[in-house]
Amino acid sequence: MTRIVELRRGLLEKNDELAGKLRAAYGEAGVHVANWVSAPGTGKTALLEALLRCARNRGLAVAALVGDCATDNDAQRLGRSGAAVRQIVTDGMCHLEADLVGRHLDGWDLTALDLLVVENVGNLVCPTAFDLGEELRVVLLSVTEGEDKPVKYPQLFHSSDLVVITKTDIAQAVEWDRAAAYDAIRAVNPDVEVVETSARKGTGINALLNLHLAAPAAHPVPR
Amino acid sequence: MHELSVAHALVETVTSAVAANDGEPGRVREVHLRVGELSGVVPDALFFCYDIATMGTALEGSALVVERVPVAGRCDMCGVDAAVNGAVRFVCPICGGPLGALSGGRELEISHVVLDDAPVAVTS
Repeated sequence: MTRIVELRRGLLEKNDELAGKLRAAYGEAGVHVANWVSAPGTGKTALLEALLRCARNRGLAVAALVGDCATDNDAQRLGRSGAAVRQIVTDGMCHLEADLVGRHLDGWDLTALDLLVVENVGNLVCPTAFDLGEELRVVLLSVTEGEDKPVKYPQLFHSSDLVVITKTDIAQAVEWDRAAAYDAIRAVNPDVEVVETSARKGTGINALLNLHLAAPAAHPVPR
Repeated sequence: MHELSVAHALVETVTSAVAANDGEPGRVREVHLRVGELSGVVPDALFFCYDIATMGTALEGSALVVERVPVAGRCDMCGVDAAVNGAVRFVCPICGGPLGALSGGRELEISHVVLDDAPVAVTS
């Protein structure tokens, strides 16, 4: 005999549940948490280095979890800023999941932190579907990448709370078209905040940090 | 290519849901999904992973049926409910205003499964 069983269940229910638990724990601890997503080579790590340094100078306690398919190069590099940093090696997996993030928080006192940045694996597609419990999803776009990237990867840009333009110090040299880039961003996410930065020159780092600290305590809707 | 992770999650969710429903998984014949254009999941890649992920589970040999859900939302300016074709520019097709809260397109859910019950043992 054949029968139909209605399920109406989220496919990534387990990840969403774990992300919800993380979000509650972050809210309770009073720590701001951001999930940074970009293509490889956008300059996430250099910008994070600058952000961590800036935060320390302002007397803030910050920590970072950095995801990569292999090596702990990024954690070593970021550790030099003096912040608490842990590497998540995904062994080839193209995105981070809530479970991986949760397991790497073991032993960290979240209540002692002001800000935790989770640097996702460099990828503009796969991280979209996986909620990590963050309150702020940040997508980074460098001036060397082509201004139409937001419309080429609308899922990710649409689901983000903040767009960060990186490497603006070389914008002129690569003939970056600011208006075209903003048009493409607005087409998929009309109200999103955009901040322009240069890790090398230190431009926009304070503003970026302020935006991270101004985010609401817990994101209202899981994606 | 995160569809393999998605396929494993699917197997886990269906297996536990079916077991919780009647205690006996029986044989899963079809799994029906609703996949939004904005979900970040590509059906073709999911089909590709499905046979591997279901091997040796209660879902082995079952068919995966995917319903694509277009991006849809309400226009902030003219109040029209609109579906966005091509899912690239989230603007109202009538007045060109930005679409506010989206009502569809992010779905990634298992709508239902079709089961073949295990034959009932007849005792005389």
